[in-house]
Amino acid sequence: MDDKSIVDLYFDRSEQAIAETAAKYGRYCHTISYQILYNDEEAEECVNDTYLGAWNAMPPHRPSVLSAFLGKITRRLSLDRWRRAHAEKRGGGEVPLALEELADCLSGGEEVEETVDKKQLSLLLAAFVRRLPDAERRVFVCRYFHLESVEAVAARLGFSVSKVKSMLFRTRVKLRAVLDKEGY
Amino acid sequence: MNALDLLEAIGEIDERDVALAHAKKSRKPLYIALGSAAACLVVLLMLPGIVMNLIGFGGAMDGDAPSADMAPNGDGEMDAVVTLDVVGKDAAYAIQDSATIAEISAFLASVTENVDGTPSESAPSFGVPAQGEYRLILSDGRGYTAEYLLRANCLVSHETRLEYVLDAEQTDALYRLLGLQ
Repeated sequence: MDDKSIVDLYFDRSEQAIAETAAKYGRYCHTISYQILYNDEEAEECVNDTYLGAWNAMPPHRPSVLSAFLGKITRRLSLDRWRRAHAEKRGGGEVPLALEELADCLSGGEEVEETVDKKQLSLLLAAFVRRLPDAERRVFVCRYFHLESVEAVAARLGFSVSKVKSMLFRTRVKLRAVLDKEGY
Repeated sequence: MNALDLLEAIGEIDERDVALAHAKKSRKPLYIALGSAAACLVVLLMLPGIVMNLIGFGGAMDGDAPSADMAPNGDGEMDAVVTLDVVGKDAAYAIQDSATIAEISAFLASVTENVDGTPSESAPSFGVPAQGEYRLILSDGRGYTAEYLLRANCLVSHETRLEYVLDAEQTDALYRLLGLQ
């Protein structure tokens, strides 16, 4: 079933929407969640919560790209779960590695309690990603949105591992400059 | 702000960027109807609008013209531009001369048989606009192999692998066209 038809099912409040979503994007969502949680059972719970989130969001929201919309919900739910589970300790998986890499983008100043304007930060990042050259954007999104390992990104995009690492490094340097400029 | 805030914020990037970055390989071509000779000419020039990532050849390049990249139009599709970007480790330049681009494309299209007699992978038809990446593997007659990444500025997600085994003369000819010799 095409995405438009699935979205229409949500708008019609047909429970078939969930079944169709699960059939078409269940595996995709599970992969995203598993990359974060490294636990099949928890990933499956997040995927089920994703369907609920989609059900609550549509209507009124009509996603421009259904797969990405679902992926974003899954990612958010999985990171929330990861944050709760790792409030005191860091576990395995790609999240700690991605966090370590992204810490390069932040100023190394004193830890100050601050309220981050998340909406503003999201807009800034969206604009930053949009301006990246295509190859860099794909690498960045695969690594830091989908949280794929560097090796997986290299395999997916046909680059060497060292090239992916180099591209990510350059992108993080650019991101740091942007964040610095905006006072983050 | 900490790194987790940043990681979470990355989750809010545009859905189209997420989808494009994580697009699977697609073999489905998109044919577009063209009603005029001028439109045909544009499509003929689409495939040459490629980005070449010349791994390992950065030192041999000069020039610093910024690349003229594709730009989404109002429908989220990409407008074709006639540009050959050459990106190396330390330098980048863009070839925007249509005649040169046409020569390079014609050259690739002319290589139908590898030096060992096996058929070479043919480039996608110039009439099939395709956005995507093409791995071009070149082996010259001196045992040297280079991988190029070509990226077409067109419309359809499409990835393929092009393999050419060139003799020394062909290799020299291509490198001359690319401005590497």
